[in-house]
Amino acid sequence: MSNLIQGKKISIDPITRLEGHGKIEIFLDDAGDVDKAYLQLPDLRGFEKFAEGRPAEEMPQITSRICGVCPGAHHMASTKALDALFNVEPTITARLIREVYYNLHVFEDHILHFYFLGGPDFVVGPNAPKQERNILGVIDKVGVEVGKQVIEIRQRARKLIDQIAGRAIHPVLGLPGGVSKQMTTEIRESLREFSKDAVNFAQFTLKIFDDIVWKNATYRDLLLGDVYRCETYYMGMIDSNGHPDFYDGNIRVVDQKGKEFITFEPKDYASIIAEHVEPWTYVKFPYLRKIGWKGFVDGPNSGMYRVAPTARMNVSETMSTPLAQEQRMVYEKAMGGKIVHSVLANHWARLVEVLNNAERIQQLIEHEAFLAPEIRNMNLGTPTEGVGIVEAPRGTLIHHYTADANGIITSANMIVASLANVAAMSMNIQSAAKAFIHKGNVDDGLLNLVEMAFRTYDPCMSCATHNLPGKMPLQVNLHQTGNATRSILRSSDGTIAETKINKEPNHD
Amino acid sequence: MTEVLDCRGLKCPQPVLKLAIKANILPKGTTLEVIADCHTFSADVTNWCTKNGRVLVSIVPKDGAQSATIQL
Repeated sequence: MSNLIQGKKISIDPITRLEGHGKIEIFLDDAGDVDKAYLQLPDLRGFEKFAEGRPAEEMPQITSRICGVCPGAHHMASTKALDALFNVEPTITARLIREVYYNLHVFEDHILHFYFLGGPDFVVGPNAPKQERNILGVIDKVGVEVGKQVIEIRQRARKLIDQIAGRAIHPVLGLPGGVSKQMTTEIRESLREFSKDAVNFAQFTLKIFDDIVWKNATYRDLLLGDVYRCETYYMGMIDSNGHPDFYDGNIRVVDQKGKEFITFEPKDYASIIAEHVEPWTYVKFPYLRKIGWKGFVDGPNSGMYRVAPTARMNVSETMSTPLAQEQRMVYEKAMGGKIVHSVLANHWARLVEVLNNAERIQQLIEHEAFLAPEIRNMNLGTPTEGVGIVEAPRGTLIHHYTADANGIITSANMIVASLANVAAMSMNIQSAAKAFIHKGNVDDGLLNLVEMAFRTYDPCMSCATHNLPGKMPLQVNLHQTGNATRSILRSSDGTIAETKINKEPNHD
Repeated sequence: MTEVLDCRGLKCPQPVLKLAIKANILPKGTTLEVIADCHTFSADVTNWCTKNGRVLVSIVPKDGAQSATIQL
């Protein structure tokens, strides 16, 4: 992390321990206090555009390349969009295999966040030297044996993902109407052993959270205080019993009091969610169409909504598995009720979900149809339009495709989970910066407290950048030894400016 | 007249997906020749015809690939 303090501007560039790239800029007033702070995302992915013209059946493979951390989420949302596009219902066996795969994916992704990305802020400490705020610092704190367990459980999860989905990173599992590979008794036995250990590991991790985070008064104040807090609408997927569900269900939105705003089917998402664009960012800002986009403000009059683990708890009633439900009750009691606005509470809710994932795998693999050979329904209809929604580890993920009669994609839209949280992240970053930076006094620990405001969401910025306002800004520097250096800049509005710099080029 | 669907170079399950899409577009009774070189194509197309009530007229080698003739 390079923190540049230039006059009245502090840049944290790049921000760290997230997926993708980003930077934070903090502007100080004359007294050295924080005036404004912004989160900026400087890269562009643009998958929606180059999906056009591709055969629809390639989409689960294409879109899983959006991100190396959550390829499973894009793969599964895309596969479900193809089910809808081809108007085909997957067989019960295919659905079970998909769900087991997907719970494995969320499990290992959540573990990655707690031990490698977000967790070090608490386990090692927000003000610890930055060279210690990482997995090695965590191992140093919790012990080498625990470190080995973390690495081993993730390794086993990823090996099972590889066996079920063909690849650990870019799966080749989902097909319209089914999956590509039948389950075997050997893999099921491995899943039995794994899920038993995974339940124990999840409970152990929750205990670490309780011992190191919740029992520390300073950390508890951060979780319960006003610095890391905002009150927005919340969105998440629920099953027919009101449990949070990662794979399938309707989408529920609740307001700041926890009252249902709306519950809708995935196919109706476009009538509920709209996307706001700004000329200064590659990010689109989704919001509730009925309320409207009111800028970077929370409250009932702002259409901003949030997703991710706390949001999933806020929109649902109870967990689908008993041990996770026990832990959820502990979480809700500690956080002061069913509706939780604390941004940092995502860390805790995420670990409750880890336990839920492990228990769900135990349930799913014992279904009588799990080993059946009927893994595909080939009764495909003529492709037209399809929406697929899953709960990605970091929130509600929407894929929407249209295709011509030959199955060629004519349009693609993706509303990625982290998009829903980006506006809130900016607000939370500014709130933290204002709380911790005064009179120009700033150090690395304070800046990390600012970074913690985005890290708790486990954002994936690689997935989140889809908007191209105007033209791609581009700067070309021409160097020729002995001659003037030319710099040509194309701005995002398309204007081109050229400057000549009369000095020798720097070849460093 | 026989329609031809050339799926050479496509891997399983794409040839059968293309066939399923085409089967929805063409009029019932049309004869469709599907050519593919994926090694599981013979089994896949036989399976698809059985499940979807279409007539697999023949499946024969053709220029290093397999040619399946199907009455839709």
